[in-house]
Amino acid sequence: MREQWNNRLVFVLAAVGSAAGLGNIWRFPYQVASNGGGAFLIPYFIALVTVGIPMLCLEFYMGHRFRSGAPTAWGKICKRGETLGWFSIFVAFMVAAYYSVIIGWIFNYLAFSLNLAWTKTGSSDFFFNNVLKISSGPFNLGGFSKVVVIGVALTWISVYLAIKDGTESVGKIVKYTVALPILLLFIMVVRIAFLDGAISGFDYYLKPDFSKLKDFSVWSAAYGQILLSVGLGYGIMIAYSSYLPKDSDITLNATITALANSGISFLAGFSVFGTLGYIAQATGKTIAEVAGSGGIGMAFVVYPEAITKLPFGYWGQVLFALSFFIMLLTLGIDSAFSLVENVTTALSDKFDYSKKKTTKVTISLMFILSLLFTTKGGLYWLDIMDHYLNNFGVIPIVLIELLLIIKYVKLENLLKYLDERSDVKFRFGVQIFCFAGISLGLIFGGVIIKEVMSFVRGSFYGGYSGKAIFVGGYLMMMVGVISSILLRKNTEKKELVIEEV
Amino acid sequence: MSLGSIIVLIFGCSFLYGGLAYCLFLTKGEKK
Repeated sequence: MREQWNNRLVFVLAAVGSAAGLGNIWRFPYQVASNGGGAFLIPYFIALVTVGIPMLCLEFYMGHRFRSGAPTAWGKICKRGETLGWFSIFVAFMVAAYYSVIIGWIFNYLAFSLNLAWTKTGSSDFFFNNVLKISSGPFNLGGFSKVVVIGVALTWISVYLAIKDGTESVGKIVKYTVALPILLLFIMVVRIAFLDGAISGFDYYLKPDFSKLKDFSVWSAAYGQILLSVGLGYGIMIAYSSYLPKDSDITLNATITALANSGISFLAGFSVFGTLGYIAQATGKTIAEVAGSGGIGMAFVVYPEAITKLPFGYWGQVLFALSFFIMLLTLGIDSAFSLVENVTTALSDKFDYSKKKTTKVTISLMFILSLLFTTKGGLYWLDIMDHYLNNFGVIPIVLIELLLIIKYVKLENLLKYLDERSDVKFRFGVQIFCFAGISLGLIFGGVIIKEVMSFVRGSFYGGYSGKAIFVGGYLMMMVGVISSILLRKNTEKKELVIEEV
Repeated sequence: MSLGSIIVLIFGCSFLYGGLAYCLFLTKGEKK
């Protein structure tokens, strides 16, 4: 019999834990601040209601209805759909490999926090030269950074311990990995709010500039943020919902998951910009000057530097640094293990493998792949692959998922299935899903146009060489598509043999 | 903090946390 979540709370916590990750801390607040401040929340909330929640309902529906991981579930609505399922597993596999390395850095920084190790050399120099030992370019791998390898090994051990007993062990751990970061964030925000300059930081974060709403790129950023933040397209939500009891309320669970995820992002903004507001005032700079541009640099350069300038005394700074990295660790680790659990669910469902053995093999393979990103040139590959997996992996996957549902299931049947099981009924459901389809199409169209333009101009993403983009972007995505097609064809043959016997 | 930011703060909190609280209220007493 298929394993099940112990109760609704555990499932919702697991889904929230998966959706809420490092991007909630280092991406969302910067998106808000640079796209019209509080005005950005209008397209963001519209995107949440028109894409985030509906598409989460759709993925929960797939897992719940077909009670299996992404490839098997999509294969049940149309044979070729299985290719899409395998492609989402490929994306999850690759993302897990580099995401684990970022978690590894957090493990490193937990240790470094004990003596604020980055103070001596400056946080930027410390991160790039002492920790990553970064090389001159992507094709100069230059051996491993030992400290990062240790961090990554710790990550994979933690991930294994978290998912070794499937929903049972995940259910136990998500109570802590979801509650703890929220609690820590909340404490940090309250403490920071009393610092001089914090309020001007909050103002920088939220001050609305409604003229930005005329700008298409702001709307595109809002939809992109929702799409990449809710955890759609990896197959995770399909895998997790496949362990739900049969009478589960999908719509309400999806709404809670999406709102909680956005709620964590919104709260994180106060922590980030409150601190930056204080630093700006203390150093006589503007917030824009001290803020940087978010992403990895925010977590490992800007924020550690800011911590050493907080007026808490040495041990207060150590405690604050530990709180920050424990918050990041607990926020990120449940996203990491959900990616792995998703891959093992897909493999064990499709091939009837023992889930425990599959977990061990999958983690071993992912660990080996993640070693690429622990090399001195690893950060370059991480950056390139992250860009292509998000833009040419997640976005088209979610779009095709919706198109497959429209063609093979019909929106009316999907909505009927959702409404029958929910206390909350969809209103204007067909219109909302159609709007989601148009929005996704526009976003993906924008991504393709941007890529073609950069190709024509010869100025590739991040200023990398065409060769690096070809290997880390185009070739990797081609491998993903071809391996997904082969996996489907291979399983089709196997099924044929079984039928003939 | 400007009036605009305060309005955004109230709006954001009401939408996200109010919405979340309402959804959690709806799950009350249900095991689904």
